[in-house]
Amino acid sequence: MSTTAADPFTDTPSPAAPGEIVAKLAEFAQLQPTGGAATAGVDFLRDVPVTVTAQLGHTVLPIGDILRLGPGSVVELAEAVHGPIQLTVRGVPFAVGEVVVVEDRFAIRIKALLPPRGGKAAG
Amino acid sequence: MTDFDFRAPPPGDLILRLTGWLTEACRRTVAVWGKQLPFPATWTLGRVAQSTAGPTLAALPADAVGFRLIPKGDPAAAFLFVLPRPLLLALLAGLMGETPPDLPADRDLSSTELALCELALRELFLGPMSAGWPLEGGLTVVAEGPAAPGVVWRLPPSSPVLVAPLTLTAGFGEVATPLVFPRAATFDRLTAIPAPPDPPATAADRKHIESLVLEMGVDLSVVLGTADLTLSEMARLKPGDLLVLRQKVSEPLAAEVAGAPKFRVWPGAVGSRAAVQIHAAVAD
Repeated sequence: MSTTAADPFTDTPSPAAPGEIVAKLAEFAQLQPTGGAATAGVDFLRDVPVTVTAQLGHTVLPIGDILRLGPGSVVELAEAVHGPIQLTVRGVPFAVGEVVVVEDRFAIRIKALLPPRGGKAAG
Repeated sequence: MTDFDFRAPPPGDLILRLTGWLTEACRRTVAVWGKQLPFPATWTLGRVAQSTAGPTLAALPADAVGFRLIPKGDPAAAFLFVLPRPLLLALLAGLMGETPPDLPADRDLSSTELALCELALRELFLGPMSAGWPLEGGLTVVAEGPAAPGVVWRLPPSSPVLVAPLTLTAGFGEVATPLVFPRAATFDRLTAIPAPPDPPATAADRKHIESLVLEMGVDLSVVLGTADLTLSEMARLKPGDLLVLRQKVSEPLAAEVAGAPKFRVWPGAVGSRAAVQIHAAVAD
């Protein structure tokens, strides 16, 4: 099977021989917003999945110290051992809680929800 | 290591190449002038700078005369060589074996002196400039002048130029003898010369850089675990709820270095601080 491309410089398709497929350049119209307020609430996205991350703690170390770490090395973190654990979605914190164990898995018992913009925490 | 001066950024490639050529020309004048002039004299180059033709010509002294130097095959590259007329008189006197103790008073050149101008220009300046030209074949120029600089060499006032501040120093003092170049193909060709390669880093350099890198701090964070929720489930969370993570207590946690998982670790404590013990490094 052979194809014939439309001439992009003249917009004049080359004549196709019988049995050939003519491939024309796709054209996309320029779009303009036509107004209209959004009506969907958060329920519109209720089935969207998100991954929640619980971070135990962190520290800052020189690269030289990290290169010396090996099995058995102990790294002290900046956080207190019984301090609150932060829950984040894509790096954005939204809640704090404490570490518990449910059956054979770690879990977080939520202590407070963080305000989206500098307000008071709920809980 | 030198500090970067933002008020005087490093020169561009063309300026560096012009500087290299004229520095070499200055060096070559030492031998030539030692034979041609009865008094010691040196020619030195200052910092080549960008400007425009109008202000450059306006800043020249009233007693300056100019020569229009036209490179062979590229008349658009005609550049200007400026000499104060008293200096030109002193150099002409030198070619005739005289050593003026001071710069002569400014005056018009006699017909004999005018006839000697081409010889003086060729022997004292154009020869070393051609010999120092870094491209094959040297630089052949035709000279026009002397005349008032703005008469012998015309460019629109806003035309970009490069000004090479050359100074001739002799017993009678220091005298500015600038060269003014237009942007032209002859000089752009200078930038086609391959730059000398950077010297290879020495073992001492590498050790110094490695020691600096080893001192840089990076973030090491330990992830207790993750859980997948829908937005609807997340919106219903409230204090007291339990969020069960995928992480089993019997398996090591992930420790990330600057966001990249690099270790598997066991959680624990050192005193009142949370801590982890390395289980293994994560293979790439």
